[in-house]
Amino acid sequence: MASRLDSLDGKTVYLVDTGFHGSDVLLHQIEAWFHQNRSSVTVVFRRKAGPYMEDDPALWKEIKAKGNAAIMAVGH
Amino acid sequence: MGIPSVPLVTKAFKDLALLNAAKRGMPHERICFTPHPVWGKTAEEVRAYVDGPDPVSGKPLMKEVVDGLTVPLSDDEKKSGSVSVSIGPDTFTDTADNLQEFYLNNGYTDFLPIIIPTEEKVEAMMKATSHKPDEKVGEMAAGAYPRWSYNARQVAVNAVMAGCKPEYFPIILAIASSGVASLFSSTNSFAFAMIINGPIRDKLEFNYGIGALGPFAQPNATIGRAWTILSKNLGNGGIPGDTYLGSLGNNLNYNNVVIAEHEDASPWPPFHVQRGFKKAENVVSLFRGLGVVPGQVARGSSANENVQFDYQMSDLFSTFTGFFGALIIADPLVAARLKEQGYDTKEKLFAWLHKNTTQTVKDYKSRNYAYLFDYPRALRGDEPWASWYKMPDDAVIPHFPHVSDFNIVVAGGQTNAYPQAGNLSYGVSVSIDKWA
Repeated sequence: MASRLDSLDGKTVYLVDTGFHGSDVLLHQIEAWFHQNRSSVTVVFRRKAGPYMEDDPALWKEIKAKGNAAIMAVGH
Repeated sequence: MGIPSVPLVTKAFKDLALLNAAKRGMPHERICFTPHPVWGKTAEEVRAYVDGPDPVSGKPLMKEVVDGLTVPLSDDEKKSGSVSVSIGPDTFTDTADNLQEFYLNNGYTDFLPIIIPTEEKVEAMMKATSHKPDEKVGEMAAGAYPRWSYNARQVAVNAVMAGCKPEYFPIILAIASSGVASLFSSTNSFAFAMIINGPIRDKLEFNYGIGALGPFAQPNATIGRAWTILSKNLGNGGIPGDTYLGSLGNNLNYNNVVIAEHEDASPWPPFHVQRGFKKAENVVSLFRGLGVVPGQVARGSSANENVQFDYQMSDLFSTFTGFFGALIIADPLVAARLKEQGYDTKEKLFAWLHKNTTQTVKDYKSRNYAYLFDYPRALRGDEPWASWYKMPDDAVIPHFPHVSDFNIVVAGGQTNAYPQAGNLSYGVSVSIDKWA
């Protein structure tokens, strides 16, 4: 597992929609939660390309380059 | 990715998520859980999930998420490595009854009695192939799991367990070599099918006449069963809640849909010839999908002398998911009638079905599989889905993306002109002769 961050303040967190039904609804509510409770966190929503069982290396590359952490939802 | 991440999983998949993380070398992965399901809930309902507790830990969900990204890793969490799986001893000894219980209680069977794979029976099975016992046959997984590798002797053990005669063994090896497991992790409860072509149908006395799909011949019954048993034991499939998640399950998984084609009664070239093999070659072709349904109920009755099986099939296929293909299982009487209607080639029939089995874009977009599988492809620009998602709701589009999604096989005893049809996609054809 990758080392954890000291804090999320000032960091960019990617919210990754796996494509399962309702994942986008859930992640947008998490996005709203960050805006309301942790406004110093920059939140970026992305839908993973392709069906849920396919890899998306371009997105992983983008997150690693531009993000500090990621939350993936939803495992069905 | 190399940066901290937290997966969010619904509670119903807790065991699966934890087991899979452990099997991939991360037994301490920080997985957070929401109530189940998320699907079908409003934004307000889901917001309550976000503001509420993680139903597994009982702690506030978003605190769990933030802590998952920020609390320093423990020594156990810092460990890395891979997980190895023991296959146990090569042989073991006990009474027949105890061994039967052993296989049953350890999940090595389909919960029907098996033939105990004694050394003598496995050796007899191996004599039906020129391949060596320790030769690698293939790799298999029942979904997005690490693939397991297996050799000919291990396949033979499973063939014995399923009740196969040694002369069936090259077919089992051909199936195993494909790497296609007949048990799949999806919540959809997948079904699998195979078509057997070539002279081996008669040599092994497959039933392709009356009751072709029923329990009326040993090769039809046991070869399909062997596929499922080896998918469990060699492919890590069929563990409910772990490698199998089909909500209802599928009765066809017991021995799959085994179709020996009634080649001589077909007006068209046999299935394997379509796939580039010679008629004299022995071939097994594998399909995956959701199941098989009767074809009697659709438009046009078989009592009608003007019965139009093309319309029947089109009606039936409009109830299928377009994610999988459509396999017509035609009694020879149905096939003959289709030819009388003008379909002197299979290709003409498939072209008609593709053109005439349609749906509106609105109906298409409302389908579960379209959102889950096709919409992500559309976003990526894959065709035809990208174009379909740009069309107006009242536009009419094919129910199946490609003409190649249609297939037909002829089997049955000609006691009546009844078809059946599978929402099944063609996967691969494998030479049986190569494994003799």
